Amino acid sequence: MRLYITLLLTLIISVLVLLSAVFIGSDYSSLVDGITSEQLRSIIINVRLPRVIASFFIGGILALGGLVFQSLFRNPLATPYTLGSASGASFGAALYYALGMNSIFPTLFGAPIFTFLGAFLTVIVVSLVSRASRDNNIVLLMGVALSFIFSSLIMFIQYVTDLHLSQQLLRFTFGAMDGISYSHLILLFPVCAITFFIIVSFRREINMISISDEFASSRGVNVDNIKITLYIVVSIMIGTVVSIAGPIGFVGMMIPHIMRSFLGSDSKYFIYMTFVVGGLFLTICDTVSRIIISPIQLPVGIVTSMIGGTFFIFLLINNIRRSN
Amino acid sequence: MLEIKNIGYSVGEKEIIKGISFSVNDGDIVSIIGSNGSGKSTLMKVISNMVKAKSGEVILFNKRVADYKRIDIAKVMSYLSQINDVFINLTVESVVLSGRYPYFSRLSSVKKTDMDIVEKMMDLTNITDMRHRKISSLSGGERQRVFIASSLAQEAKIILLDEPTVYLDPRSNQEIFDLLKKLNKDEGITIVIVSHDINNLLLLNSRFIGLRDGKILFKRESNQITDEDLNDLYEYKFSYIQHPKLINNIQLLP
Repeated sequence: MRLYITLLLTLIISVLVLLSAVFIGSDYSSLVDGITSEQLRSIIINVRLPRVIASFFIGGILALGGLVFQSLFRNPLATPYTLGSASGASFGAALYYALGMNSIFPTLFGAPIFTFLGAFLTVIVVSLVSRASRDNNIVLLMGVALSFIFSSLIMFIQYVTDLHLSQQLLRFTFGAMDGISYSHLILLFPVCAITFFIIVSFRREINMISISDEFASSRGVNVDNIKITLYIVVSIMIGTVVSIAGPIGFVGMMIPHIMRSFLGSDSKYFIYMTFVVGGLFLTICDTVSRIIISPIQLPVGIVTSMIGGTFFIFLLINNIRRSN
Repeated sequence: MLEIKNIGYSVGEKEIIKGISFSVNDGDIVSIIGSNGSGKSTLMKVISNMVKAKSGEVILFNKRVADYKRIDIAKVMSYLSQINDVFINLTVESVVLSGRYPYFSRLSSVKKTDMDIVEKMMDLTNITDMRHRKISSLSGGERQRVFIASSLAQEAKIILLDEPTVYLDPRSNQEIFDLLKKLNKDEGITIVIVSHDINNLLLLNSRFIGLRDGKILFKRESNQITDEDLNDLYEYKFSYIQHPKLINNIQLLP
């Protein structure tokens, strides 16, 4: 009974957040007055609506990616962002633009291929390190090192190219949601649906691997196959998100961690709720970033990193306290 | 039911185990003992097919382990490695239920027969009361019982245990050995165990395989093992007394 109330409450909150996010902005309209001008109608329908929908799905995808990585690497600090996968994707995007690939492949589907490859190759490197060393810290440090390398490579490209491209690449140093249109949703929807379905169908294996590889293996799980499949799935997710919005940090760390302590990893609703709450979180952050220094729009990555960085420190302190 | 034939395993140039042969019969308890680094854990991993042997073969029910699908091994043999830290908050019940994995199909929900077996195994290992607790909130001994229950839920005939009582206090240690004795006696589970607790292994009435530098130093029945065997095995002179509960048996003094 309590569970149903929680679910119902989540649904109501979701609708409220998404609706109000559409109406909040520098051109403000209250729900009571309705849409008063033609210009506002156009802003709401062509700009804010796709942006709000996209931020919900991107937030959900980021949270799910974090959930999977935290479980596979058995570490609450391990996410596609902290393990360098998102930076790898960004570097892929930077290469795509720098090599002029956008004149060969259309951006909507060409960029995601490059970001996917960047994300996937990074995951493979990190997973090889985690196989060689059981020390979680080494894996995390490897991720940090890779992030630095990719960031400096992107900055290098930015520095040597022309101003226009340099501006374009700024998107891939921190995440932002401006310029999202309905065409992005065409990419986002199917990626979201398919990867979500795969992760839900692998939920048992994910939980068993989170205990230990050998535990899962001894129960009949083909650990190597499952891991590589999930690395590909998460790379597709992160690649898609980065190609649209750049690397947005910390959603993938905070949301699954919080949902895990509320619901437990074996809850039927854990994966669904992580997705929904991740989506809501990013939608709220994006709305805040649109209005906080309005009319200037702050990139949402700054807001999430600000909140997420604080949360990261909180997690670290908690870890220290637990190990004492 | 389980035959280990001339097994060897190496990492690079270094041979970890070599030329190991022994067989395990239905209802046996086989103890593998030896110093740290003697190759005990590697041997267990090779037997359970976690790693592939570089030479020799493991025959499980007349078929090479390497020819099994992982899920089919899980239906007859379970391997429990040392698990020190559990990061994720799973409930006791769901960890036990994960032992039913080899019988699940991908999207199906859990059947009643699965839950019946989970109930039975929780009862057997005395963890029914804590079924809804998070695994991270349990003591080391309780957690080990949960993992054993999970192995039992696989309905495996053979259970391989790698140091199941390491880090446990004396009481939890004793409870695990009592449980293993019960499982072997009442449920007919065949056990292959790696442990340093020689006294308890002697009390299990097990067969001993002594491993030194990756090779078998001796194979002994529980009542045949001598103080020289153990002195050779660990390259140390221990003190011994006659075990008060057993005839012909020695007890190792700390």
